[in-house]
Amino acid sequence: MPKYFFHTEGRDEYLDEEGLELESHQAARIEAARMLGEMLRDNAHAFWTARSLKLVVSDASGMILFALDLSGIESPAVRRLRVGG
Amino acid sequence: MSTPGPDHQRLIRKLQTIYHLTPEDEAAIGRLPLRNKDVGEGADVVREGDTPNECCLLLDGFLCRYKLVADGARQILSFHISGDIPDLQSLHLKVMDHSLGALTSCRLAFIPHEALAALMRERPNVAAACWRDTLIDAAVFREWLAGVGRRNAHQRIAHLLCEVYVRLASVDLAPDRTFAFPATQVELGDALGLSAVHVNRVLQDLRRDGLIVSKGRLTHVPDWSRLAAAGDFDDTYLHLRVAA
Repeated sequence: MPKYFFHTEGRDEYLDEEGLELESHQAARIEAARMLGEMLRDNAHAFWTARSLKLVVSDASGMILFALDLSGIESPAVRRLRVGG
Repeated sequence: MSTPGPDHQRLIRKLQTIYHLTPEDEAAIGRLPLRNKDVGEGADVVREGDTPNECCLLLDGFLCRYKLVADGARQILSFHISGDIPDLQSLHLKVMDHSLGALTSCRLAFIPHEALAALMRERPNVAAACWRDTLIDAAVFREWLAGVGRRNAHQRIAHLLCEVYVRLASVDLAPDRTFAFPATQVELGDALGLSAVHVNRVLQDLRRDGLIVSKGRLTHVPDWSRLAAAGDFDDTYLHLRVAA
């Protein structure tokens, strides 16, 4: 089974050095989505500090296969309120 | 009074961790008829829906209780080690509401229900010990529920490693804080409600932080209190006669 490597980019950078054997690209995509959801659940309040969570999946050669990119966006009105007072 | 053989000793040793048994109780346990059987890794010992007329005593290896939900996804409900009788409740609950699977090749011993029931009538202490065992089972489920519901991935995995270590240590299977726990990352994920990727990452983190050390196929815990803190672990729920 091919090996996939799941890295995190941004504030909590993480380089996966071990990887995980999974059946296929499809399986890796599903696991990546699950992983992102679990990371978000575990660090919900920290997420809003960085307002960004990015998971990048590469194969054994280091080639990036896909990425999951989550952004927290505040409306201009909320941003004004937060900065102002 | 003859000394119970090595297979019976595994059951006695396990029960002694949770209840005081007298030499007469031990001798009576030693007279239980055992039907030995070996199973391979991945085999089902009992399946959900079965109506067994015997209980399974695990002699060597690791078993897990599990359930499959509608789309075929598996939830592992508990892990079992030498000396455990994971389907003891089948004595009273006639239909299995979960399955029992082998995580490794296992040596098993099957005990007929009538023999266990007769032993419990004859030795009330043994009946009390078995009752206590199923109560502790329930306490473990409560702890797992709290963990899967509210602990983060790091805590869940550290907590499970702590639990397995304490249980193995109580039956002298973790000398020098070193033990075998051959669950795969997928199996850990199925037990803890985590993706295998997440399990993989947390195990990497635990190793990087020196909380666990891999020694071949064995796991070593260099600093017990650090791992316990990481797992939010308190062994009260295991109700052992001698705390970890």
